[in-house]
Amino acid sequence: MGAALALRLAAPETMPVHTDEAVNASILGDMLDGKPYRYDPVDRHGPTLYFATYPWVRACGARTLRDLEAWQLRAVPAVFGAALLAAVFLLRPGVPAAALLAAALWLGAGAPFVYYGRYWIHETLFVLLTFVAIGAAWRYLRTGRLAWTIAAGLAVGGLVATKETAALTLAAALAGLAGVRLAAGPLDLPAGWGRGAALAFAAAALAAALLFASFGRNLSGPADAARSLVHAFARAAGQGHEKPWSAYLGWLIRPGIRSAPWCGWTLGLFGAAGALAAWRRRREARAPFFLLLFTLALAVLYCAIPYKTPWLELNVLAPAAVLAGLGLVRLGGLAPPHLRTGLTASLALLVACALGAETERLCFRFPADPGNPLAYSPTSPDIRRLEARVERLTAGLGPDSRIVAVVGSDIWPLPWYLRRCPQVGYWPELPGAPAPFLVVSSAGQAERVARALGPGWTPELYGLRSEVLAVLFIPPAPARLGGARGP
Amino acid sequence: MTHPYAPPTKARHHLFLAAAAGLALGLLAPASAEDLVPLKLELPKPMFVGTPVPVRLPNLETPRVGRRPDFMVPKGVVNLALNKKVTSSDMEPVLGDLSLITDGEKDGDEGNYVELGKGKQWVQIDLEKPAKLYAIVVWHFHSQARAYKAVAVQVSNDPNFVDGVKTLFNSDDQNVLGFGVGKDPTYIETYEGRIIDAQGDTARYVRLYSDGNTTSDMNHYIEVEVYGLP
Repeated sequence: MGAALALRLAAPETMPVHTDEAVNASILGDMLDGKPYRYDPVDRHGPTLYFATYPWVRACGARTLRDLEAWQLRAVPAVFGAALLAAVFLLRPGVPAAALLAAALWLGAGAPFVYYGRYWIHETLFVLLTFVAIGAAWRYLRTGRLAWTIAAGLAVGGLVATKETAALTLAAALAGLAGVRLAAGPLDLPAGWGRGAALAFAAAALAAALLFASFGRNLSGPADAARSLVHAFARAAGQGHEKPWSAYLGWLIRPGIRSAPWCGWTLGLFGAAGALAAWRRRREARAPFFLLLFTLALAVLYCAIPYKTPWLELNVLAPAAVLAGLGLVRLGGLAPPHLRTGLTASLALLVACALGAETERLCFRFPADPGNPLAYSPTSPDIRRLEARVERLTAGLGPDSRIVAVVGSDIWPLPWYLRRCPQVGYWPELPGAPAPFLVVSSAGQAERVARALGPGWTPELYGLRSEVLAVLFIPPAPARLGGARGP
Repeated sequence: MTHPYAPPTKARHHLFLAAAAGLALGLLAPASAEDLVPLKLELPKPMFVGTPVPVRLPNLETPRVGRRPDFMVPKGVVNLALNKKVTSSDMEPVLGDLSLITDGEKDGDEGNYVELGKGKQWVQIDLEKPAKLYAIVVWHFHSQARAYKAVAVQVSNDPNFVDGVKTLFNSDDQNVLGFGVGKDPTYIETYEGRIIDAQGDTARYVRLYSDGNTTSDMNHYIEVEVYGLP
């Protein structure tokens, strides 16, 4: 776990802040400013990530958006990603400890897990809550202790309040349970399981309601959450993120210019071995069989939905990693008894080396490269030059000085990079008054902005994301900016 | 009023000389025009359609609609850079190798370009002997709309580019390369490549600089062609 955490925390500024992180930071910035969090059912995910991050950044001394640092935000999913390694151990002894240890190779060092564990978005928290819910439910089924069913319910509530894709996870879990019932016989339910289920449901509903209601500060939140299902269906149709059913497969196993896809290949190989073992022993070992069915159901659902982004694959890869751990141990077990430990350790070492090589390249050396299959619409490193340029040009300007105008709609993640700029404002069109000192325009608006500004302004081109450009307009009399012109 | 047969005054004498010179130039001009021909380039297939960034600004090159105007060069110019040796500030490229820059292959597909490391980098082509140069054409990367930063092109007979260096193109608007603030426009890469006027200068070495691009910190070259008289 320590190594997994270190991998996620190392060099957090390597990757430019992604648009989704910038949008999330803007929401957190509002919360730091004292505005109550209000769930937006149309265009946003749930509140758990913000509530999980808020106390941490406050403890770091942040009081406004401008105080935030990327490393502070990214430390949160890093902890969640490392905690996932512990959460899977809730499945013990349904899944052997050796298999869970082997699974930790992928969960801890696999490139997708590390990459999105360094990325302040909802997915890592979502996957962690998924495993807490499954693990706690499994423990309840084994022990009958109500604390576990309540824990499972709370985790499901958190899941629902994290992302709308909770519906898919819950559907896949139900499909998994039904499959176990059909293929492996009746479930061994503890006595009084109806009460336990009711408690779990109540805990889930209470947790979700409290979170959506911002703990009482936004009472319309739960109703908005219910309405979000309608929008979630519309979003599932694609909304610009439409991909063919095979997109995840391509991201996972197609060799790229930056790395061989070791995580996808090894998960496929050892996951298949684990799946075979889970199927063969489905009557005796139901937890692995449930995980197999759960993984397959999630894979089918996510492939069937046109909306696809690479971080969504974590939902399938995490349970697949447990199956792969099982497969690795099973394959090692094929050797004669005196060689088993050695063979298993050798396989684990080989997997660790392969995963490490891919992770080093995709997460550290080329994290924002267009050739990186994990980098989805990555922010261009060029944005840092724009940030530095604006900082130089506005150096010495006070809070009452004239403004930096950002014009256009496609300007994310500029609000993050210009968060410390005095008097920055965002407009759909160039404002007439107050007259701006500097103007950053989306490329689509640049021609109109140039006409409105008049002659003498010098435009400079910068990249925001792949094929998304912005133009910085510098005024004709740079001396007015404190003589800050120049590199 | 001056008599028509009066001896020429000084002004008339100048007028006569000007007319004679004009006549001589007029006779010579057609001959020069005949020697100039449009530069014929073999273009790779386009990798993206249209221009996603319709920016029309003073020091950013306006994306052109329609065919590129002919670039006139003397008859007989050839690509002197073909298969010539390339050196670089990054002799161990991240992707590909330096020979790709002069191998004549201009497709933007993976495997056809060399990727140099982050930040300021240059590549240098040794034409093996000095030659009169008329056009340098560069394809950095054209499978995606992007602009390269601080693009500069220099020629020299000094392999170290210390003496007799002439800068033919400079879009380095913040002088990160140290050659002075560039006045040439930043441009978005396309499959047509960028034609740079070599102005008939005589040089053996051609050096091209860049400082990353709008998408990544890396520097790329698919092909560089240097047209001159052999």
